[in-house]
Amino acid sequence: MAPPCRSFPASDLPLAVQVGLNGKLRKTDDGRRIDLVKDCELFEFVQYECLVTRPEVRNSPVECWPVQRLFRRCQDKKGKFTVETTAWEGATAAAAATSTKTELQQDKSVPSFGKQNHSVEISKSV
Amino acid sequence: MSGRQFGGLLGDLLGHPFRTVIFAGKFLAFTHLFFEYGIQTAPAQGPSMLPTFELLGQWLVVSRRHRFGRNVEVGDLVAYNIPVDENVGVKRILGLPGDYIMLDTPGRESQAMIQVPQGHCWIVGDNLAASRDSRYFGPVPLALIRGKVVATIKPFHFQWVEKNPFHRENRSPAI
Repeated sequence: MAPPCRSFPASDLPLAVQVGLNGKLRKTDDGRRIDLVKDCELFEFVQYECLVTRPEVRNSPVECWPVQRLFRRCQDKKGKFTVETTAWEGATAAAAATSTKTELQQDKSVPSFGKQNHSVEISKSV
Repeated sequence: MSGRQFGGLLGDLLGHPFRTVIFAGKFLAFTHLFFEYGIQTAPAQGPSMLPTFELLGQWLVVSRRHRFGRNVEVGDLVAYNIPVDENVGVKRILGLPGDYIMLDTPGRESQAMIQVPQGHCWIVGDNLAASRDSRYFGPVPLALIRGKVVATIKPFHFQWVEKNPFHRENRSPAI
């Protein structure tokens, strides 16, 4: 079992990344605090929400909707570490910033974050 | 003629039982070494890794050099002992010790995050809708990692796994 972990809201991310696993402040080469935007390179990674449309059929088509996730790779004196910034700077955060969260509440079965208007249909053997 | 040859070979083996036992022992030891510390193959099934892996009929090649999470990186596909039952699963590593990761699925109401604790990793299936992973049972001890998935095999088709699924994003942040 994993040890108890303290969770924090995504808005606290810039503060949370300053502290390493040992509970001490992370150190950078020039002694500055870590700036997520300036010091950390942004990467995109796509996962999916897939649905087997006809599970009773062996060659059922599979529909997939992409879910975009954002990560930043930062570095301190001890090495590199990864920070997921999806909720902090992704489409969800942008939507929250502009108070247009209605789209998120419309369909909770499939995340609206990163969901595109078209679906990717993939034929897979069931 | 062939019957005599076979008889001769059998005779050789039966005539030197000690040599036969040594040969069998060496063969078993080498096989054990190869599958325990080299490469393992296993069939994969289930919807949790769609569309990266198919639902059925695909075999995975697992490098045991990466057992216990040795030299694994964020983005790697790993086979691991599922902490809540006896089976072996395959998922993608999204966080290593000290990394920061979302607890829930992107787009859900909760936007809580955690820092992955020492000696653990955060694994998530590529098909978020049908995957039981760290979102369900939390950070997974690196000791449960059996190896890294390096290739897939289908009948008459061998394919290496994509090395780095992360792509550079060159847009200005929203905040």
